[in-house]
Amino acid sequence: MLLWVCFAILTAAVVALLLRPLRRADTMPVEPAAADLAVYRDQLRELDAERERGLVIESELESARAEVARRLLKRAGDDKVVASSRDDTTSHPRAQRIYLAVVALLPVVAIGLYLVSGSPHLAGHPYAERQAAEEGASSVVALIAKVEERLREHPEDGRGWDVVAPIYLRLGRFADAAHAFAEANRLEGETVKRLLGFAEATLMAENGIVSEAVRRTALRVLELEPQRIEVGVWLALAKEQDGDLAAAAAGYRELLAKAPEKAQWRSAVAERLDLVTKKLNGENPGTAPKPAAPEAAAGNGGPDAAARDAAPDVAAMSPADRDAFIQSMVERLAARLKDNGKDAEGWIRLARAYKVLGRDQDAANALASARENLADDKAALDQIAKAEQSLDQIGKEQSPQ
Amino acid sequence: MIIEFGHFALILALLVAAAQTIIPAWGAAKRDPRLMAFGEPAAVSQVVLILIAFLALMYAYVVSDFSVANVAANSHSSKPLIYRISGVWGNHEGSMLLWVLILAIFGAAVALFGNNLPAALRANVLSVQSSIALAFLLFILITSNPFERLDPAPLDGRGLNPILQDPALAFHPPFLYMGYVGFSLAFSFAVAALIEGRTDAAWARWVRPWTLLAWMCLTIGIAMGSWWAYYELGWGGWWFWDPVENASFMPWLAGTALLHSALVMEKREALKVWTILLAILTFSLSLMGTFLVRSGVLSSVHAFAVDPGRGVFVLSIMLLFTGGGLALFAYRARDLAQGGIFSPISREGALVLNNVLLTTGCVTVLVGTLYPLALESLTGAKISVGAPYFNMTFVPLMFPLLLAVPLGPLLAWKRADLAAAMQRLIAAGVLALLVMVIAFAVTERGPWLAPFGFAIGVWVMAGALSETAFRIKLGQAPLSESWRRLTNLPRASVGTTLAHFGVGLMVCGIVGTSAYKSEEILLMRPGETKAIAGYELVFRGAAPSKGPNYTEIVGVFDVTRNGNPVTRLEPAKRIYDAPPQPTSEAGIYASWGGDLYAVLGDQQGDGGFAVRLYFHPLVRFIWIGALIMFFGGAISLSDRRLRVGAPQKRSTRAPIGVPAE
Repeated sequence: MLLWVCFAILTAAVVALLLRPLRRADTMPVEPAAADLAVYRDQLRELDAERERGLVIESELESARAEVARRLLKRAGDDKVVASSRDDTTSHPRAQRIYLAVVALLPVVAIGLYLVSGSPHLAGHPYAERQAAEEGASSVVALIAKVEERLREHPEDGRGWDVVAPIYLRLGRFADAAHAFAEANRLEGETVKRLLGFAEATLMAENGIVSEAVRRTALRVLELEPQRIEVGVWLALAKEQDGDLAAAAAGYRELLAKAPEKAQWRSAVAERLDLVTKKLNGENPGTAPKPAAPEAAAGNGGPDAAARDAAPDVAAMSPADRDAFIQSMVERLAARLKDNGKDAEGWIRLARAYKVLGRDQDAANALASARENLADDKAALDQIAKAEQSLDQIGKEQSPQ
Repeated sequence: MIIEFGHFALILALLVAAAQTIIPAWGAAKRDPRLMAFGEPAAVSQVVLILIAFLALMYAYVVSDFSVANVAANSHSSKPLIYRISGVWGNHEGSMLLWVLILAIFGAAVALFGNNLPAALRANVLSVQSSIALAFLLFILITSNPFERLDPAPLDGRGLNPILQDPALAFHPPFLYMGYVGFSLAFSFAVAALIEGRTDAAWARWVRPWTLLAWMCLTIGIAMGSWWAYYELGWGGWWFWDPVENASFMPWLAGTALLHSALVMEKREALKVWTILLAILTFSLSLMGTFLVRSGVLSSVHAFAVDPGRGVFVLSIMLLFTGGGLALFAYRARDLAQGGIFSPISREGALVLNNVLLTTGCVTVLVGTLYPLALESLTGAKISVGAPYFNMTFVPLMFPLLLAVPLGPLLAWKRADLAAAMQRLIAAGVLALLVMVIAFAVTERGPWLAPFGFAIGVWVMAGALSETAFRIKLGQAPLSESWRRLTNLPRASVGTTLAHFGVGLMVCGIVGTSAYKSEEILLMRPGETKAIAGYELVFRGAAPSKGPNYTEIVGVFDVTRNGNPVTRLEPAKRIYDAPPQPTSEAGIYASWGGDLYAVLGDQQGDGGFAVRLYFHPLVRFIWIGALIMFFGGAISLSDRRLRVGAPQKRSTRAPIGVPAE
């Protein structure tokens, strides 16, 4: 926009300048004859100076004088002719018409030519500015480092967490973002914005698995702001990931019924529902229900999937609460797998959870159950064998401690 | 945004130029003062608009905005600031923009300072001048728009040809263009006179200072180019009769002739028709120079962009203006009144001789330059016309001219006494003969003509000084009287003396370096010694080094003369970062006697380097001579009489904005 204003100013200035002769009352031009006469008089004067310096021989001086004088007289005669023929020809209307035509055409043609050849949409790209932009990016990093340092000293500074959390999220540091949102929620009080931020960050950190923490956060959001129905996607997804396909389908259907026509996440939900319905009907659209990638854009954070463990949220809890929470989560998973044992990933997650909790025997049992349940699935057995190896590794690392 | 603003300003300039081409000339034909007056604000706004465009492009170069295609193709972020600025005209598009900028500046000068010009003449001049600008602005916007953008912008530019990254080259194009384009004003005046069918008395007074300015700039521009070729290309020469060099030399020869014929016309109103023809031809030769170096007809460092479309466009411009000018001349010339009468032996006669010889010289150069091109396009045969041709044709033509140079200023106008003038040059003649005898005695080798060459150079120099000595009655009147006369001498006269003296000095330099140059090409290993022209050079070895945007191998030569240390030469071979291209930096030791010049070549297998050593006697005189000619022109230009064109008139309107006297 500024560009066009500048164009307009420039054009206006040029037009104003071009119109000047029209406004000037006394456009008396120098008479050709007058200019010539002045030159001839000057030449006559110079002749004397030239003689003085020996540039003209005495004998030639007179003939040179006569030459100039003849020209002078002849020109003086011309003058009268020109002067009498001048007056009747100065017609102002014509000049005015021509000037106005120029003034009218100039901006139009200029803009037309410019639109053909110019690139008004392109901003400049000075090299230094680009470098500054790169430095700008690194200054964000520097800013974060500063805030982090402060938070290390004053971990109770809720505003610091609040500031840094969305930046973490944008930079893709999801685990940090989830932790920061959790801290901000705890210290500054829960708001829908912070809760959504936490849920989204956790979800991303968990690769799309809806953890218990996300599920509870979603419920809390609905409590605070019932019209944010889109968080229901997470709830339905949690059910789907828990294997409760019927409940998930019901959740999706309910969402679709409630969703506004133009909601962006509608199509994603419909797709999800389609998939779940097919599975319910016994079709197998793929191997295990691949957890949904971030799909619908719910509120200012994306929605989505389940939990392995709820680390960020859990970190904010007291040790006793934390243990209780983890226990409850593990039990929930174990119960689900008892109902539906055809879930290799679920078994592996359960075994890993037991291992982390130090319940090695339970972990081994979980894997054994998995083998029983999935005896006819070769790929799943391979997966379990691999998981067993890595779990042994965890055991070895932990034992020296 | 600044770039787009510049682009828009350039488009506006095109439209203003179009209006300025038509309206003032129309007004002059209809005798309508208001229409004639349009030229003045139009010329001023044209120069402002083109300046905005030029500064916008320069800004893009300075901040390295690679979203501009022209900058991306010709600049690089690591380039030093001065070469980022000079990079603006170090490429085709930018240099054409500089061309029109200078063109517009000359046009605006007529508009602003031409208050005492007859209105119709001024209107016609501005129209013709603007028509040239219109043609070149069209050329720029259609075929070579410097404001084309790239999206996305590349990360860095491709860089300026490293051999153009040089201080002399930073200023060579602007001066050369001021020369070329300066002659456009002489052309515009000539065409305006032909349109009107008569020349005003003020005509020559106006043409002369502008021609002088253009000539000065062309002189220094060519000298800079030659100096640059001498120390940067590492060929050890200062002039190669290269077509590109000839392209600038031809307008210089014609312009020198024009300068002298304009003098006759200003003083005596003689040679009118000839002067007008010469003005047309001089600018046509400038256009031809532009065409030759811009079209890709000639391959050289100047042929930035080989693009047939551009070549055809410039050719059309050249044909339009040359053909149009000459056709108008043929149609109108006989209407021009003849001026003063003079006898063959007179100042006028001497200047006619000057013109005849200079234009003939110009024609020989033209033939030597165009013949190979014409032959190649007709038969496909590639021949090279080099120094031997020009030494056989051009040089002999200059001998009588140089012999006559000291005589001209001593001759009186209309009719002169040749014997008396000769008498005044006896001292100069004796000195020249003396120098010749000494040269024969001292030099054992070199061509037998060389001492004659020295004699002519000294003759011209001494003759120029004799003329001044005569004018101020040196030796004939008391010293105080001579001093008074010297200070009262018109500046134009002092300028003449200086310029002629510079020519003589240049002749001495040319003869000295051409005839007595020493040259050695050899393989040197570290520690080895070579003697040349009385100097001993010890090669100390070569080591790598790093500059701001290049890496180099620097050779070290310790120079002694008769056992006394003189200097250390450090010729280098450079590889620039962007674009990666090798250049050679000559190591030069300058003294009054001549230049010791060393070039480091490629390393050979056994640790030795190919080395070229030269001694160029008196070579500096060439450029010092050119510099003196430049200053001679400047002093002449500062003459008050020439500055305003015609004396102030009381009877007519005072300039706008200035109160009447």
